[in-house]
Amino acid sequence: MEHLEYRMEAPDGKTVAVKPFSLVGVVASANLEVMLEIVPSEKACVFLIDTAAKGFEASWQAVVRDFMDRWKPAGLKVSINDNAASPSVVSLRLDQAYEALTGE
Amino acid sequence: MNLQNIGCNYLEASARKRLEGILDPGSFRELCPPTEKRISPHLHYFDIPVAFDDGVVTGEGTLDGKTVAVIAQEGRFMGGAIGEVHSAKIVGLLRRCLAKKPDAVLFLFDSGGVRLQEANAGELGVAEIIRAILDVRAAGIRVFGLVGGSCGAYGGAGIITGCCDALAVSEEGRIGVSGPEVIETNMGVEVFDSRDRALVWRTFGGKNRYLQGQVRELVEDSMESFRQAAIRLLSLKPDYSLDQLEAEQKQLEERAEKFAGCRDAVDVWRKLGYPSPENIPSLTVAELKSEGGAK
Amino acid sequence: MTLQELLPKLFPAGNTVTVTDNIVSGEGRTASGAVSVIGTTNGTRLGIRELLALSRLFINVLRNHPGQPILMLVDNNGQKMALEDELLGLNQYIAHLVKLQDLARRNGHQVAALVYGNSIAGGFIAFGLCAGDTYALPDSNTSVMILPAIARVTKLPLEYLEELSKTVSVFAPGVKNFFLTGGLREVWDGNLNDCMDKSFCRDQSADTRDQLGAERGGRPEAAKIIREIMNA
Repeated sequence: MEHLEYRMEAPDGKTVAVKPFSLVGVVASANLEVMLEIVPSEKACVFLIDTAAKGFEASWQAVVRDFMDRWKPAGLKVSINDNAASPSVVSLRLDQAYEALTGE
Repeated sequence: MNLQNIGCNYLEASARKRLEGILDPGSFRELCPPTEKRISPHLHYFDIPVAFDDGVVTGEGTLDGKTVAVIAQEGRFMGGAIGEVHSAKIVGLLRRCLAKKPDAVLFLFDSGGVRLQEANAGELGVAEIIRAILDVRAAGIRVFGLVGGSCGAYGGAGIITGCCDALAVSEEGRIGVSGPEVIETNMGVEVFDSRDRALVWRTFGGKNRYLQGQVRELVEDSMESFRQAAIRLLSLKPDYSLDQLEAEQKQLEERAEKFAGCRDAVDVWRKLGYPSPENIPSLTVAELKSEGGAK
Repeated sequence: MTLQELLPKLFPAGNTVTVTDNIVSGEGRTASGAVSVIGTTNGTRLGIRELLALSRLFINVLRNHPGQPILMLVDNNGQKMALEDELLGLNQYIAHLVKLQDLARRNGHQVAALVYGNSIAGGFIAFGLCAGDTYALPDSNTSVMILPAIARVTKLPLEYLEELSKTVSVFAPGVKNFFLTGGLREVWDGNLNDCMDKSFCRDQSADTRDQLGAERGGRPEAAKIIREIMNA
């Protein structure tokens, strides 16, 4: 298992949550679970990733950056348990989780 | 009718989705939610990713206005297998019922049994769950099991289903102790081919269990069917007593005698009095019930 | 220890225990009265026939010997793995037997299980772990699955698992691991009659195995989580 953490500053970001947390996906083969929570005092977004696929740091950084660009969120704590999902599945789950959290 | 259930099946839904579909809309409150991150302390030794809820959802809500405590296993995480945290959440939820006194407990099974990586904790967990269920039943609170997920209820989970007041099971739901592969290994593929899905369903599936009287409600694989069956179960009277166990002993002895030597469910169903037992797998639930139901 | 060696150690004052088709039944004499003995021997596998026989013995004690302590003697190689038994709902036969063990305790019988041979997987749940308290002799074999099989299923090297099991008690077979995880109340060494007498004086009203697992370190999380949910 590999543990990765990213802190993404979001000075112009904004997130309005309709519930305390969202959780999508499941930790099955080639899948992952993504949990989003709001940290009210924070502007930055924190990503806590535990992944069974080692050595894909660059790929994770890219997916995280794309997510931040796409939604411009703020004050998120993103927790991930990954069982070797592909980057496109990771992106999909992040989007699903954000939509569930914000009711979009 | 819960309108959000239209078109939803039970088999493919996640544990949380099943609870949302079965309980009264908006009534569900999760206890020990995934944000608590009560993850397995042992899976990292095996380099296996954890789940924030360790594969089981526990909480409370209402069903048709009655308070219920609920447990729903997530079969897609490690086959719903039972480890230390998973079983502790269930035991905690059950023991909580002794103080909170809900109208009933709904246990949505979806588990292959004990998690090997935590074998001893899982095994003890199963025993503790059984004890806690019986404590709840002895206090007059009914415990109902629902079986219809992809893992069914095998091993320790299969045993736990037998400790519930009553069960609602879909055709796709399966209940057993040893799984099909183990039976094949032990008896040879000529006797039991675990890849023969029709055979597996005939042997372990909801229809066979229902026709033999092990299952109270046989339902179609839809969220609304399970919801309605659970509501019907709520009207059952609790009964955990020596009289009831003596009656059960008689039933079990009669079953063992009547079907001694049967190796295929078709033979069992023929002895039960169904004229064309080989057609039973292709009947819908409604058609099967109109044939006369469980004998 | 064989059954024949065990019985006089448990009941120096005598016993009327007999074995029929590997089912053990009868009574043992103690200073405070008779103890009902129910069990299996020869590493029997528990199938429908055995489960019905054991259940009948429990019903007999519940109906005809109110308040009598029950000693379960455990030696099984797990549940029977046969198509005929699964077809007729083996899970239900096991559940029936464990309900009788539980009801006996609820109705005022002290129910103690002693593993003296093997106790394996589904067989251990069916007969052993659902007693009021579970005990074992030091040389008995309590197991869910043997390490080579766990190695095969988890695709990890056997040597790694053997090494890991020296510090982690949650997965490997053995009396020590079941003790540390809280499953066994005690291991019976020394005077077995004394151990048994003491066991019949214990408070069996609450399941404290999660707390034992926390105290002994074998299950670090269970008791905490149980408490959290109860108080949520």
